[in-house]
Amino acid sequence: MPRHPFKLRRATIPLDHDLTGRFLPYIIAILTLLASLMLLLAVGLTDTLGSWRSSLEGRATVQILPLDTSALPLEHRVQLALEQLHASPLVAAAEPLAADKMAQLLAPWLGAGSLPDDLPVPALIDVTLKDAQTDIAPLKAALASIAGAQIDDHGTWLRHVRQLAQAGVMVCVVLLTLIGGAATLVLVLLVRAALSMHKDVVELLHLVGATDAFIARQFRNHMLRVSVLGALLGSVLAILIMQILLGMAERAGFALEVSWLWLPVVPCGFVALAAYTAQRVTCNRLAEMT
Amino acid sequence: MIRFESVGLRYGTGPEVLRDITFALPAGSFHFLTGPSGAGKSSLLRLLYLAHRPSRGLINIFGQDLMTLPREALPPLRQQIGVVFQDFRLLDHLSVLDNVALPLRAAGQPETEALSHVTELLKWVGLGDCLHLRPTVLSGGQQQRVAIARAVINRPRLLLADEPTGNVDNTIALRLLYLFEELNRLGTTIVVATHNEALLERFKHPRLHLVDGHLMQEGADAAPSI
Repeated sequence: MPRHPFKLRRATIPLDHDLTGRFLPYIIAILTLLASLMLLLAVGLTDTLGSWRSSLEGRATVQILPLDTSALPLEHRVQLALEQLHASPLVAAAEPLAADKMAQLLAPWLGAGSLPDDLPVPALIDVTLKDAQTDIAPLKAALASIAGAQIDDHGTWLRHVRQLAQAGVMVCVVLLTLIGGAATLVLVLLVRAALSMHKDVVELLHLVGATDAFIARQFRNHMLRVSVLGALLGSVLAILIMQILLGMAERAGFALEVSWLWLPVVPCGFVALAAYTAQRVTCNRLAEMT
Repeated sequence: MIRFESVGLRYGTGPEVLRDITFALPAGSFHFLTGPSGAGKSSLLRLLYLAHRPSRGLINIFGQDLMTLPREALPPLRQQIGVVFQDFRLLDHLSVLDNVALPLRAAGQPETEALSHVTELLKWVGLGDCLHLRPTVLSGGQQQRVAIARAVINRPRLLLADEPTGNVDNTIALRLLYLFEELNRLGTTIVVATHNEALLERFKHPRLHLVDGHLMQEGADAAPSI
């Protein structure tokens, strides 16, 4: 069966063998890799910090210090604190931390196993508040009468976590913007260089009646094809590297939550950027010609 | 159909290469463009195939004033003009078929329709077996036929040829001129820039004779005028 010459025809402008055809896939691949890692890490970090935050919001910890000066023993003061907490309308639940859990918490510093009896360890009460936004000032006041009792709603730590998450997002946005800007500049330069390289072909196309839109379409389609290749390569590399990073983080005891749904955003963005830039720059440059 | 009035052309800030060019080409006419090297023949052809706008004067092509014509209106006009360049200007990375199909694709003609037109025309010019060859493997005469096929595939109203007989022997040159006369009889207006005195003697068509950027009209049968 004879081949259909129009279906198998070569590109009207030989862009495949110039700068854009040879280097652009690798440039797009590298930029896609960097931007994808940036986005996945930032989203993962934000999600992880967010889940930490939500697990602590609405919780408080009452700490009762072992005091030599107090007339009441520690167990008695714990009981008093529990009574105060149960009586408060702000508290949903209050549970003293069991000795084995306390030992678990202190294991990194004191080693595994039960705690020595003579070690002056404070008693902890885990408090669940009815409302996550509760102001714990009334609870503080109620516990003030119990010697060595302190209540902490983790507000300072939560503020730090929130600031860290915001800083992470800001850094991600700035870096992504810079990568996007660099990609745009590279694309503009490559399209302009390609237009200069193929000036004779472009002039001939004009002389046979081609419109600027027809010529711009040749550039756009070429950039679309080339950038799809680069974006796919960059995405595959990003997945591989991210898997390695996740494995390392997990081995270090830090479970990072990564939302892979964000992954297509970067390659799709680069492909759209390449196509749009090619079309726009070509049209603008051709309009500058006589 | 084509009217030049006091047209001048300069490239950048250089001297005028064409000065006060005034002539008219009626529809269906056949003219030779003659003159010594450097007289401005190629520049005049460039104005005719709309590669440049004049520095001054008035050019009216197919009823359109070139001086006031917006850029977007040029492609439809260019699609009515076929050009055979002196160096053919074939695209080496494309097949013969793709080269000839360029004007049709630029005009947005459907591919299947374009395919049948191009194949038919290439058979007519004797290149039916060369459809998928690259121009680089063709002889000079074959390349010229590809260039002519590309110039006429759109059935242009105006056909311009820049020294089409410069690279071929006398037999082929004669056949080429007969082909142009045949196209002219079908209604195409033709302008052929040439140095070939033998052809000028043999084919009695009016001449536009350029000397140092000025037009000296010489009539074979009748000189063109406004």
